[in-house]
Amino acid sequence: MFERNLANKLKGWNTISDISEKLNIKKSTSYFYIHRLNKKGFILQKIKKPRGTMYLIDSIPSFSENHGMLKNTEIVSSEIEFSKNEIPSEHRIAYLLRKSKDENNQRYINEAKKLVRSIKNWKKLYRYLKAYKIIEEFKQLYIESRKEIKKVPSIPKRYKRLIGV
Amino acid sequence: MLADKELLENLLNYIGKKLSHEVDGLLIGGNAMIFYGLRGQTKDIDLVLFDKYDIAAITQIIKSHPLFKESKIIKKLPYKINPELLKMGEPTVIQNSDLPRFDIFYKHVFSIDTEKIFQNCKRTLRFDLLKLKLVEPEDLIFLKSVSRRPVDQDDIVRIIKNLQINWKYFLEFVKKYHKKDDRVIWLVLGNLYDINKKEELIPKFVIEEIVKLFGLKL
Repeated sequence: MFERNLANKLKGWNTISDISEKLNIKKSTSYFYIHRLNKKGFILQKIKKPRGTMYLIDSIPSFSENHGMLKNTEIVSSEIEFSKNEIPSEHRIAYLLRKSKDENNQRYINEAKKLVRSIKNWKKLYRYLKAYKIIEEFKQLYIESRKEIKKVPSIPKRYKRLIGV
Repeated sequence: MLADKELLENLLNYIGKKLSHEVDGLLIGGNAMIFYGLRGQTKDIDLVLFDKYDIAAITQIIKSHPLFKESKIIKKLPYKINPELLKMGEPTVIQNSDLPRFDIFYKHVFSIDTEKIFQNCKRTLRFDLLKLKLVEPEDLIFLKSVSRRPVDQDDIVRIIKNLQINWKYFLEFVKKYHKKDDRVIWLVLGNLYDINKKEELIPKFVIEEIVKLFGLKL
């Protein structure tokens, strides 16, 4: 519980000198404390400034480093999503297409188009397409992106038949 | 056997990978405490789901897990709770003697409607196709204070000491719920009063406002 008590005392934005002043410790010790807090996930954000790095500390730890369903996109999600494992691009494509269908928003389709080149596992992709019920939408997206983007990966025969491209 | 964070994540990942459609749910109780970093282990895994088909799918997947093959589905709770609270929110319990227990609720947790709590959540944990919302600390205090177990009282103290709690939001929620069901709020009041007797952790205005709802004075 040492880290949590520290995080409670240092809530908010801090520089190294702020920490050493608040806790009455040496600067070198405060670097060590920052390292321990970072390891447990209590540091949410770091910003490098000319007067020294600023650290945002909170009492609720962020759960994992690889988080955020919409990590690579410009869209701001209303809620924070965390996942231990990095979410594969196959999953992201399916999720974005589902969102575009629900909210009738073209921006999600544009974001999904950027990820088409990174498809590697077609079996995985087909599972997500079935789960989100968007096989038709993916078919359209694939045909469009073949015209616009270079080196779009070709579909294996089996999935060509299943998706109907 | 108690479940730690790693086992919990592995079990939830297993469920997520076996699902054939996206399932939304709510993570409450000891599991939520684990993800807030306030506990190391838990006896049971409490999930709230909002679709009956989802409950059927998840129970089937849990039964297919090699560790849970011999587990049994029980409709009775293994611990004591106020019988009035059991009218609506009885969980489906999947239990094996040595392993952590699964308690799966449908919409209500011990007669408490969780739809508002589900909408208020800001953090989501994703395990492949299983999407679980993490209950907010204020709502966790509310849920824990309804059941009057000594373990839950310790948990409430731990939450208040370690996390920043928006008491105004908590009061608003209590006032809204009072219009629906005042028996539940009476239980919450009793529990918070007991905690404050031992150590003054809850601000006085919170208890005073709740007492006012019943036309009483401290």
